[in-house]
Amino acid sequence: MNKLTKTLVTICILGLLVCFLYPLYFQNQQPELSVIYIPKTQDNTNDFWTTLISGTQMAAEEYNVNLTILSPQEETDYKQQNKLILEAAQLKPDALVISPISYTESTALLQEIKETYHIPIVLIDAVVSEPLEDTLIASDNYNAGKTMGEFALNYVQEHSQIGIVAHVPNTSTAMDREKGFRAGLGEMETKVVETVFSYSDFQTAYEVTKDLLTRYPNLSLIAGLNEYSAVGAGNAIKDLGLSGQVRVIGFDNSIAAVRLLEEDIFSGIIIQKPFNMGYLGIETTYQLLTGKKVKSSIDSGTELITREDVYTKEGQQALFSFLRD
Amino acid sequence: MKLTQILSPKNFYNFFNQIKSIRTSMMIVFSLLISISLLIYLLISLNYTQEAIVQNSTEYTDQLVKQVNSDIDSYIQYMKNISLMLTYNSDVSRYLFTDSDDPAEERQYHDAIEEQFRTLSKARPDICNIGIYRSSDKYIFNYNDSLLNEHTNLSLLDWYQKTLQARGGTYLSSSHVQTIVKDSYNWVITLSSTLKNPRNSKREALLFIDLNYNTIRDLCENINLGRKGYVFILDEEGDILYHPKQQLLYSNLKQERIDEVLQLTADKNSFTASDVGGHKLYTAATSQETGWTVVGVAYLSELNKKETQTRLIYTISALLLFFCALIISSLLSKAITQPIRILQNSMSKVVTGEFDTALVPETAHNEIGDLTHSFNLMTQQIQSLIAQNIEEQRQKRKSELKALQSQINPHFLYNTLDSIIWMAETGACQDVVLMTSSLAKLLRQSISNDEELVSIRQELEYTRSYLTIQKMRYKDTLDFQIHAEPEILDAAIVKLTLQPLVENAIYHGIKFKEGIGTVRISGSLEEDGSILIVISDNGIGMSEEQLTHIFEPRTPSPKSSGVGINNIQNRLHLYYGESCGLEFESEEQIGTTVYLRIPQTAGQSRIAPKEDPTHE
Repeated sequence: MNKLTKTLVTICILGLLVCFLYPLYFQNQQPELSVIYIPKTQDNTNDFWTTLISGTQMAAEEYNVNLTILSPQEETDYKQQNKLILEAAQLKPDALVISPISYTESTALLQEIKETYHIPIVLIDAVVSEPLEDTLIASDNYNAGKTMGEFALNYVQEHSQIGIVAHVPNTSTAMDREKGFRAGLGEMETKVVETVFSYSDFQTAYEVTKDLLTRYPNLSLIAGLNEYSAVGAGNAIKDLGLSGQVRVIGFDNSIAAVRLLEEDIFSGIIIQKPFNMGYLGIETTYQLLTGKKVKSSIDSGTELITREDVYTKEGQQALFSFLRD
Repeated sequence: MKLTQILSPKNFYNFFNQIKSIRTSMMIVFSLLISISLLIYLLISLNYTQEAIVQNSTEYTDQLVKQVNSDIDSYIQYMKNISLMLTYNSDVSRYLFTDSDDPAEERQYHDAIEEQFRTLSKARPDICNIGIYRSSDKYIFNYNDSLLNEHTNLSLLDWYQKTLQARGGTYLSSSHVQTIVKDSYNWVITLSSTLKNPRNSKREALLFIDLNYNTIRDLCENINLGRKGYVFILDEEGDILYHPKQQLLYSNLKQERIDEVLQLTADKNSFTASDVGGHKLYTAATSQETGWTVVGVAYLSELNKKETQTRLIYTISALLLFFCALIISSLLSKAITQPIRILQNSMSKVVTGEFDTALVPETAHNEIGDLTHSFNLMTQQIQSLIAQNIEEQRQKRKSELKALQSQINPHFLYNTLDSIIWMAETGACQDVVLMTSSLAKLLRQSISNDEELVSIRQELEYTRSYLTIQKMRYKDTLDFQIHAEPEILDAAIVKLTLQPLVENAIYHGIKFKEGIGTVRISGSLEEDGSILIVISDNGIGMSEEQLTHIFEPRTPSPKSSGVGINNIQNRLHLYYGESCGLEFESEEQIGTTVYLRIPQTAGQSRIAPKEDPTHE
């Protein structure tokens, strides 16, 4: 055999090898990623969290991610959530996705997990006191508040007085939304007379709104900074027969909110997009795990909905989730 | 360099000329041709397979999509029939249009209708809402006292407007959220129609059935389009009516290729598009009944899982073929070039003079056969020519030698005879005897033997006889000594080599010297096995110039034997090759020495082995 024949034979053998290995390479290319998501709660009566979780599940299906959901019973039970976080970390998933209940109480735990297990951590909806997360997917509350404020300008005149019903003092979401709202009002910001707190309770919101109206009888606009605050305020105005005189701008999407919108007590509501939040959360986690560059924080978006939107195609698409029963 | 220049025929020739063997060139050409044709074959078949797969998949999905379409048509038709049945239901008409003052009677109709609604809703879980409406105080929604959402402005609702425009016909809405029932906001598809008041023939009431997506989803999902494939439905306006990922589309997290689908026609109802997940095949079918467009999306890779396998088989078989073709081409090129190779080998044999084994058997009947035939003829002719030439040379040398032998110089003979006469007159009997016997020896030796080779002993004897005669003639001016080692005496030497040298020494050296000149002849066996005979004289010697011209041929003088130095040298070379022969050393007034070197196995000529006298 001369040199040429040897070369040709070598080429043939290499070609055959490539042919056999090529399909194997593609078969082994996509190993399933395992991700554990720990929401604040998983409760069928809570639209926000069920929608958010269905978003995560949809993304998991889309990206072939093995998603496990470990959920606390109560939205306030950070102790149980911490226990679940630790359990999840011990299962050594490819990534941990968490919606922390507490701003402060989970920080140390997450710090420890990050150092011990080196698992990427993605936060959805809420943050902890230290920037431990690889990426955050949440609504931009300041921007949402600003949209609210700008919308409110439609109903504010020279003599108007504005009241704010916020949820909990010194919580980041409430503060950001209020700041945004005031910024959106611009010069009319001086018309804001008082901020009261509902402590995320319909009844409290109802009471403080009544109280506020007695103290400021000329109040013409109330901004409710979360679902409880807004719906409570709306119901108070409905019961006091002040519909039409006092406008309410609400926050978050619920059947009660839509009803108030239809009853024209709410002039508009700012809705968050829990489905997008959940979907983007898992999608971003997938991108993070497959080595793509992701932003440190992603805005899942908010949208202003008015009464007319309840009946239009686009409005309905934003307002009502199309999910399996 | 431009490509055309590279591909010019001249470059091809250069390329093939640089390759050492024709076989390699043939292999290269074969391999190139085979691989190019295999590659083309492979590309065509792969391409054809791809096309066939797309075509099969298109037909397959087309059938499925049409199936879904007709299923949905019959489903909607069925629902329309239910709606029609309710339209002509007398209870409905009586309840809505009888302005009876009797609440009991009204309640009776109400209950009857609710009972019907209950039956229908239980039987068809895909009915989300079913209701009749005339005014805000005359309506029945479902069977569980569902209330009217009094905040809904009916005139704002698209489906309500369209129902009025349908003039008694049944209107089928796109997907929307039903807002007419209090506290219920579901995504539904509404079938609605207006009801005629029999009293004034005005269309004063509304009947609607809201369908949830259960049945449509089932119809779309029970279809096998692979693991990733799916079906979606567009309404008349090209908006999404149903999609398995509807929420993703509504949330703008995902886009569907609606624009491209809308451009499809009945004739060309499919297209393929590339996506992250692979090649997708979109096939659409529009229903005349509903105006909806059912679109099937299939992943080509899933529809034909054998595609990769097919490709693999094609590629492997192509490679195997290539491999076989290589082996065959190797064998073929060997078979074709083998005769050339044989011819080449015999040619190199001819070059070295091995004519006996050079002949090539003539097996082929092609150009190479002709070549072989010509080659054989040529070889035979060369061989006979060479033999002829050698024979001629031999004859020539023989006749030359004979001429030389017959040429004992008449002057020498006359002078010798003269000397004998003179000696006889003086009464030197002894001397007369010696000289006459020497002359007799000389004559006998030159006449008796016509062989070219003689033993050194014989040659020396001949020389001795000559020298004896010459010594007697020149008396006190010539002396000679001959000394040869006994081992060399029986070795052969070319005849008439020593005597002419001695003759030269006498006539050109000693003759002109004053006093006694001595010729010394010594023979010895050298260490390398050759025989060295040295003939030295102490004559007048030669100048440098004479020495350089010593081997040039010249016309023999009448007094010499006529054998020139160059003749001796030539004969020695002919017999023993260039390494043997004569060497001269000379110095003016001192003398000349001739070295004659021959191999011990003298007589074994390289050129004409047949010349060996032992064989004759």
